[in-house]
Order: sequence, then C-alpha cells, then structure tokens
Amino acid sequence: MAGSFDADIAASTRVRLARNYADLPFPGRMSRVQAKKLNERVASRLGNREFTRLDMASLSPNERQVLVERHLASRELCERPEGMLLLSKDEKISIMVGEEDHLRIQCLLPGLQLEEADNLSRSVDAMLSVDGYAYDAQLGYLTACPTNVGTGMRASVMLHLVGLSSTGSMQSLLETVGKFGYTVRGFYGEGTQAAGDMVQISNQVTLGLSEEEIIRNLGEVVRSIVKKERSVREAMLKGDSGELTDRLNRSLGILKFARRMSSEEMMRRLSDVKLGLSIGLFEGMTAAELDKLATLGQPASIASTLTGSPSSAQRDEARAKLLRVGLKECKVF
Amino acid sequence: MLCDECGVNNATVEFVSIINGKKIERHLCPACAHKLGADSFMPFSWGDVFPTVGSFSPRQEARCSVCGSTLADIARTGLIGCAQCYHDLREGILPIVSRVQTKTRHTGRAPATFESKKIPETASKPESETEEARLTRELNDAVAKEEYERAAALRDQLKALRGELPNSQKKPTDSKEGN
Ligand SMILES: [Zn+2]
Ligand SMILES: [Zn+2]
Repeated sequence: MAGSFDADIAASTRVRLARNYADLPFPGRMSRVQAKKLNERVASRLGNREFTRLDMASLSPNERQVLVERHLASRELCERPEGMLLLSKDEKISIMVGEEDHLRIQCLLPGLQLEEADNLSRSVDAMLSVDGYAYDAQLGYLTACPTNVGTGMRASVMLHLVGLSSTGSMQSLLETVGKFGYTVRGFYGEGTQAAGDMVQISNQVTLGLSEEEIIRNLGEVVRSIVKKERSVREAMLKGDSGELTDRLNRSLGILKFARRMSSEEMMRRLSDVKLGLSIGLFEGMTAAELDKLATLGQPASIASTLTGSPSSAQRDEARAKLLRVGLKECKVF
Repeated sequence: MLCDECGVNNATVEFVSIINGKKIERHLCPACAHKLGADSFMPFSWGDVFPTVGSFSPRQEARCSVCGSTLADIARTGLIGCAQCYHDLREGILPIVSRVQTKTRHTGRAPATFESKKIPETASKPESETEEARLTRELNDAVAKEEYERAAALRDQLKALRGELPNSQKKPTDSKEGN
C-alpha cells in the first residue's frame, strides 16, 4: 500500500543510474550508425521482457511532452533524433537510451521507497551490463558528465511540503539541507503553489560513497523532513481558527464541481486536498491517487485525450471533468 | 518583477536550487515555473564546473586516441567524449572530477564482468600508485576494525601490486625465478 510509505508527504522516489558501454563513444560523440547500434543492442537485450519501445523520432511533439510531464523522459532525450525510451508495462522502469549517457536506467515508485527503487534499477542494470560497461577501477562507472561518475546514481525524493511552505520555514530548511551534500529544487512562496509546494531532494555526490550509503543518507534526510512536515501539519490543524479548514473544504468543493480548471489552479487545489486527507479532514482516496490525477491533468496529457488542436478553454473543461470524476470518492470525514 | 525566463509575465514564483552548497535563485512566472519544474534533473551551470579553460595548461593539445576530444573540447561542451578520454586525458579530467565530487575514488558496486579482471588490469596501469594508496588505507581501516581476514587479503593484494608475492600463493617455480 502506498499509504505505508509516507505517501501523503513523499510523493515519489526515483533512482537513476547513468551507464555507458565501453565500445561506443558517449552520445555527444556518436555517429547515427553508432546511435542505431546502441538502440538495437538495448532493445534486443530487453525485447522480450515486457518493455515498450518508444523511438523519439516516431512520436508527435505532444506525445513526447506527455513523457516529460510524467517524468519518464527528459526534454533532452525528446530532442535527440535517435533518442529512445524503453518503458516497462507498469511504468516503474524507464530506460532513456542515447541521452547524455548511453543509458539512464530510471526507477520511479510512489511514496518513499529508496531501497525498493535501488533493487529494481539494479536488476535492470545487471541485464544490460553484459555488453560491457565503461568502468574504471578508480573512478567507477564512467559518464559523459563528471558530476555522475562513480556510482552513476542519482536518487531523489519528491516531497509535498505544504505545511513547511505555509509557515515560511521552507527557505531555511532547504538551505540547511543544501549544505549537507544534497541538491534541492523547490517551488514555493506567495501564490506559488503552481507546482503544489513540491520539493525535490537528491544526492549531489556520486563518487566516493557506495550506493547503499547514498540511499541510506538520503533516506535519513528525507525522513527527518517528513517528520518535521508532519508536526507542522498537526500544529496547523490545532491552531486553526477555521480559516484552514475553510480553505481545504473550498478546494475540495471546487475540484468536485468546477466546469473549467487551469492546470495551475488544479495543482493548488489538489495540494489542499492532499493536506486535508493527510490531517484526516477528508477520506476515501489516497495521496498517490491524487498525484496520479495531477499527472493526468498536465497540459500535454489533457491534450492527448482531445482531438485536433484544442483551445485552452477546451483543455480546462476536459481537466475539470477529469477532476470531477476522479474525486468522486473523496468525502468529508 | 518580471520573470527571469520569459521576461514577459510577472514573476510570482521563487525557484531555488542548491547545488554544491551554492544557491541559485530565480524569479519566474507560473507558466515558466511549471515548464522548468516538469524537467527531471539538475539544471547545470558549466561555469561552476569548468571555471576557466585556461586552467588546463598542462598538455592542452593532448587528444583522446578514440574520439579525438581535447580538454578544451571537454571544457567547451561540459561533456567527456568517450571512455578512453578518461584514460588519455586523465590528468586534465581528474581535477574536474575532484572539484565536482570532492572525492576521487569509487567505493560502490562494479559490473560483474569487471570483477574477474580487476587486479591484473589496475596493476599494469600507471595509476597503480593510487591503487596502492587505496589498499594501504583499506588495510589500516581493516586493522583498526579488527577485521583480520580482510586485512590479510588486502595485505596480499598490496604485495601483489608491489611486485612481491603473497605468501599463500607463492609457487616454487616463481620464488626461484625471482632470485
Ligand atoms: Zn515566464
Ligand atoms: Zn574520447
């Protein structure tokens, strides 16, 4: 169950491994022929293992944008004519082929599941390693960018820090975390719930620490932030004069009944509803289900459900409908 | 204030990223914030990593024997060309690695295919000095932690690296040839 992984605060976990083959130059220096050879090699290794092959060149711009919105592919991969994505049926594993490195093995799981994501990415890594990785006794896995060399591992957790954000303590928290070897990316502040008060925390160093150390250290940092966020949420509810519960209930009401909804408003309202679920104001849905709605409601994903080139009003109507239906089970406790 | 990205809309979103302890602050409009937020990983400023191309003064003209990259190419693109670059341009690349990583020795996993040929390969390379330093450090560490089995294995590796033969693997023919 997603609920057992602090999913009301930790929205998702990702582990990414950067890998290159020893016998081909890195993508920036590959010829088209070599790029094709790389694609065929990877596709044939995983061909019979329930992976869907997506060649960037054969996708429409909107289809590519959907992959970016869903964090399955980077914009950089989409812009590469020979770029290829291999996607597992459950979408937990996506392998970007021919991005900055030959392989970017990514495992994306809901909630806080660092060890699980590590294990999953490791099993794919083992299957692909048989063709001979570029590896150096001193520097470990060799990568196009020296910021990835060593383990090639970037582990990250996406956190929904609506409490810390609304009490103004986000800035100092992020600065502290940033000083300890983590990369922090966040959107927050007045009227900024544009991205729903999401903060991404990832390891900065990939060399000189074992994979287990990277995972463990990040896990510790994340758990301490989750704890802090939880106590702030409790204090918010306790000290609420009625303003907070009014706001959260309004947001649920609007999501359930609005006929047009911009993606920005959607993110703001869903952030409120997630908070309401977390503090026991609402029931009937999980945070992971709300996150899924947020993903499906992104602009390109909405456009992909409509024909032709929909107007922004048409998209907002389709989004509102998606949310009305999606939030049917969400009730006031 | 106008958005740093598009310069058109009003900036209402503060975007902060902290990389290598250095804070990068940007003021964005919701649309641009969204666009950038949808992107997965680290935005990278190459100025931070390659402060000056001129700092690679030693053997500036050296070229990778496989892909032809020079250190100047690497500084310009921010990317290393191929695995061989790490070998051929090593003295220029190692300082970059230590600048972005703080440490310069991998301690994590290795591919299964690599394990078997690990020791002979490193012993024959000029980097054997640093390999020796690593083994010495690990040996001290093992002794400190009273992991004597590991210490013995490390001591043997160290001997092998220095051209001495570990006691356990000493063969009659070898020992005679040495004298
Ligand atoms: Zn803008
Ligand atoms: Zn090269």
